[in-house]
Amino acid sequence: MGPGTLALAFALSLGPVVLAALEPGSHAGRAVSHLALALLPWIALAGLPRARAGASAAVVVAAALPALALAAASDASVGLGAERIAVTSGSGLLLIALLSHAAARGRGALYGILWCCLVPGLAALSLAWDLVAGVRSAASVDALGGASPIVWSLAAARGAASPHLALGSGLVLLFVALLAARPSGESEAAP
Amino acid sequence: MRLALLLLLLLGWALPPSASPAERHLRRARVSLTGPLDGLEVETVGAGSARLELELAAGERRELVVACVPSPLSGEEPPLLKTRGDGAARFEGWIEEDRASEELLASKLSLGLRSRPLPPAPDPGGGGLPTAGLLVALAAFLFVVKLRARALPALGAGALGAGAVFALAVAPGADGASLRLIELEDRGPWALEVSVARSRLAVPAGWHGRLATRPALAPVDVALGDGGPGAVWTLEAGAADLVTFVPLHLGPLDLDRAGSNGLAALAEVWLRSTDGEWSRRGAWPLGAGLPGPKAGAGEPPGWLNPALPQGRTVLIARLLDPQALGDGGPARSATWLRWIGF
Repeated sequence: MGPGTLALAFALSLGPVVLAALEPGSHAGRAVSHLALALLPWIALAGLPRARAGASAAVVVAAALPALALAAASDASVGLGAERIAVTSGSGLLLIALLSHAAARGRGALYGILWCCLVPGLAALSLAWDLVAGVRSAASVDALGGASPIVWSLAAARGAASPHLALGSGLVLLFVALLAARPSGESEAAP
Repeated sequence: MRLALLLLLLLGWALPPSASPAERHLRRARVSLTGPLDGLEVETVGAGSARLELELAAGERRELVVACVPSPLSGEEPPLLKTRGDGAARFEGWIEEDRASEELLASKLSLGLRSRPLPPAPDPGGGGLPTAGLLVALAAFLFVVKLRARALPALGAGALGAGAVFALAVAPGADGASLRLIELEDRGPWALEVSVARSRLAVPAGWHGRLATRPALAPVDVALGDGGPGAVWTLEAGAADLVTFVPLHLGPLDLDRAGSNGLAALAEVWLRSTDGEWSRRGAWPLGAGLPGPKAGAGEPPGWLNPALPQGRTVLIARLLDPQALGDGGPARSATWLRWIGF
């Protein structure tokens, strides 16, 4: 992620807290996790295929931490359980690290296609199924959608959601990225 | 003209006495589960859902009682069961005995008790923009971006910034602001316990009964937890207010103007005479006689004193211990008594 993408993800991840504060009492449902919603832009952008390597995974995680802490504080203030906050933040940060490391190392069409399938593709499929079927009832469809990190963060916003499949997708992406790794000297130079 | 007046009168008779939210019920149902399952969601279309966390091994069977709020529009149709895991769930039916017991209890309450104006939800607090947290988050982010060529210092700056942001922005105690109002009439023995909160309201696990939301048809989600001892179910209604109604049998009420207080320690007391004059009496300890009128504001808080029936004596009081009286349900921030015909 370059500085511009980092700034975009940072600004978007402040959205849930700022919007809830501008409309007091709305909190998009006080049972909704701001933290999971704040993770969404980082997860969506961290693994984006790119021409240059961009920031390292550690830097992306570091850049995400302040905004995520703000969202976690908002969740804690409305009484969301500490365990749920800890699981969501831990899983989310791990996903961001996996995806950004994969994007920093990955190159070529294979990584791009796989990222398109696993991250936005499965999310779009899940949304399409929701729209067509009205209510998702099949466990297999839920499981397929849950493999998308984007769908996981949305599910985690509503309640406890297992991150295993989403983390599995992150690991697959990292594995493919490492297979076709870009040369190590191709990282972004400091300004 | 006469016809218009007649129509107005008919309209007034047909409408409820106050703009109270539509009544709804938390209904219990039996479900049969077969593992492997990690969780269950019970969804009543358009009315909300209930979530249950559980661990069921492959082939393990269990029958459970869950609760959800049926849609007032679609009636009490079977809810949709969504399982987490490869197991199965089957709806066995609503618990019909609940409805009969609720109707029996409701019949004990007088019309006056059932038609009192509802209290407002207490302010949950914690609102507003966390400006300091936002500014520190922005500063920490910019610092991380500046240090992005060096991963470890950037990570350290991000972690330090996150710690500072969390410490500045977290507002402990903002949750859980809930209010309990015990409505009484004459000498009892029945009372109506009204609990109200914004967004989230805990009820004892296994509770069923009448509830309301403001706005009236806001979806209500129920977090059923794991059902352990002392467990509570948490009702969640987004930004809406939640109200629950529980008929209470308090027995003979040991509190009157002439005798001593044998009911509960009262932190603040106001009395209204039959001619509508309010007097503040201050605290009324347990075992003591009624204190005399105090100087200062004579009237109780306005939300407790809307259009109450004229020509009758009224006592309004705040309990010293919010958990006193009632059946010892989940903790409430404050408990008030509103007693018509004291």
